[in-house]
Amino acid sequence: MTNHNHTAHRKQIALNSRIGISLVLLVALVAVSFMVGKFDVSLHDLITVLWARIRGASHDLPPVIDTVIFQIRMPRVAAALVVGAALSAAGATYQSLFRNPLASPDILGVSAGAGLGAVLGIALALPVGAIQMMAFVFGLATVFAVYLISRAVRGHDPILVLVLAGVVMGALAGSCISLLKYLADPYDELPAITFWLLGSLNAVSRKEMLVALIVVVVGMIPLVLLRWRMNIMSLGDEEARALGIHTGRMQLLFIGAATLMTAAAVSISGVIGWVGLMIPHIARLLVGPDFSRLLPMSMLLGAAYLLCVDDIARTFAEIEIPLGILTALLGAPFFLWLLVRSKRGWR
Amino acid sequence: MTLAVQQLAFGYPDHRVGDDLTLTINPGEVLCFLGPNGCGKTTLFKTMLRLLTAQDGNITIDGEDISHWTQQRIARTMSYVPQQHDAYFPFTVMEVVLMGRSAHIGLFASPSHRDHDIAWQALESLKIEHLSNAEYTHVSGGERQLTLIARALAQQTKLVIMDEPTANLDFGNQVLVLNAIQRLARSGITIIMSSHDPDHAFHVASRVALLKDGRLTGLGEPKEVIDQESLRELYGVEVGVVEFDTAAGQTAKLCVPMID
Repeated sequence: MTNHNHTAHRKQIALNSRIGISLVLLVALVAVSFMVGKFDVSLHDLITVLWARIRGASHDLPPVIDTVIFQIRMPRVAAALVVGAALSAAGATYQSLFRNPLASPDILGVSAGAGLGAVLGIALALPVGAIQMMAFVFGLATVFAVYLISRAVRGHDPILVLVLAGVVMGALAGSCISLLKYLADPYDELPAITFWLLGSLNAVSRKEMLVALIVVVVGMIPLVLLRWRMNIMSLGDEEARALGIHTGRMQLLFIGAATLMTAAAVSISGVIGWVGLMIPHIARLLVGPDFSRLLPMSMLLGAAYLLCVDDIARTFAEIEIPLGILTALLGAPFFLWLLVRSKRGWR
Repeated sequence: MTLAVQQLAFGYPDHRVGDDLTLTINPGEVLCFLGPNGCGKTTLFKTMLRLLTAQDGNITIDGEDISHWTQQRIARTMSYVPQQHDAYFPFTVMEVVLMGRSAHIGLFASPSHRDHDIAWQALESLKIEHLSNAEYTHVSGGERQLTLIARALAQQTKLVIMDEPTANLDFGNQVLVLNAIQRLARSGITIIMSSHDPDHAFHVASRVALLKDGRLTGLGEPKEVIDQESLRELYGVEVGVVEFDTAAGQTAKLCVPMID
């Protein structure tokens, strides 16, 4: 017994320390993200400005540094963290719940639905806030429709029906987006639509960022509270029920939470693929499938990854590179490498 | 604890598998279901566990109809060792066994020290404690089966339902699992199981139930029920049943297929 406890305990500590290390790296990355960009900020300046802000005192550096740090970079860094963490948490949830390594945050059509909402908003020349609201509502509505369809179809594997309904609704939303693009004004609306569909954190304001953060935190709550139950859900519907779980309710709760987080993220960032598919895999390789570790690790890595990619997006070239392009460019080969190399993440 | 099935009809919404099945399982017995593939063993078990809804008739435990029991109450009363277990994620053996505690743990809680102790005892009683840190996806088929039995033990139910616990195992692993079943039975747990091998019924069962096309065609002590005739009827092949004396001075029986 002691021997077992000892080894198991050591293993736990090793896995937990990996989460700790990731947290430290993330903090360092955040500092770097404040420093790089069109306007360089030194570490010394960053610390001085932050320290002054914390004490409520003033500093003798040029005020432009204040503007760059608090007005320009802070909402953007925060948005990258929130969007990356939310997409990865949702991805980890769907992968565990559907027992499918290819499940991603948009598997039930939330991104396609949100995309349609946003494109519609742009076509109607709505203000940015309203466009984001449209994206959020359409994303949720699409997943709700998918859920209703899967309820109506009986006699098949419920998870399979759910995923297939997601594919169908996604395709439907995709074709509506294409139609709107075809009809859109090519000089004004079309670039805006294209830009939104490729994903960017360029236009995120502090207020929108806060709203998204609150929604993401609300979505997080059931995932954190039910983290151990998620492990049992990942055994599949029948076994989970035999182990005493009311799987219908639990599934609805997990899907609702993950969808809420994804919709909030997509509504401020546009469509950013691959993050929620790739990051949970890496997290699982590092800390194993236990959701109480997989969830925080996925969020930390997702936040760090998207922050890193966004730093590249805004510093690499003269013009900004859309995030979705970069995440796909980096994500696809990485995922292939992961597939070839790893037999540990799934079987 | 007595589980009784009365005039049970079971199956899937669009297709009935079995009909008019009446059966009482007494405390402490090992009841082994025999029957060809597709005869309805798994469907019957799932109906008993209420994973499928009974189409007609009822299932009672100590006289109480279970159709309105919560999932949790059922899981505290009977545990399930499923037949084929696809492992998707590399949980450790210990983590898998701990999942057996879920019906005893609060909704938002994680397993406590006490739950770890119970899981550990389950591993010890099956002599697989050395596997506790191994990945479930990387242990052998027999060890995986024993892990699932350990999970059922950690569930601490008086009744365990095992669907073909020896399927897809090599000979040594089959003996290992049969031994484990025997030990559980001796500790007072009621076991309902199925097997593809009539000999297994001779080895561990106190009673055997023959199931064909969803109907019970025989029920009783293995030595009395399993003979050339009943096996011919059940499987449609010729199987001889031989009797011999064991070292302990008792008579035992074994099946010998007749190959022409």
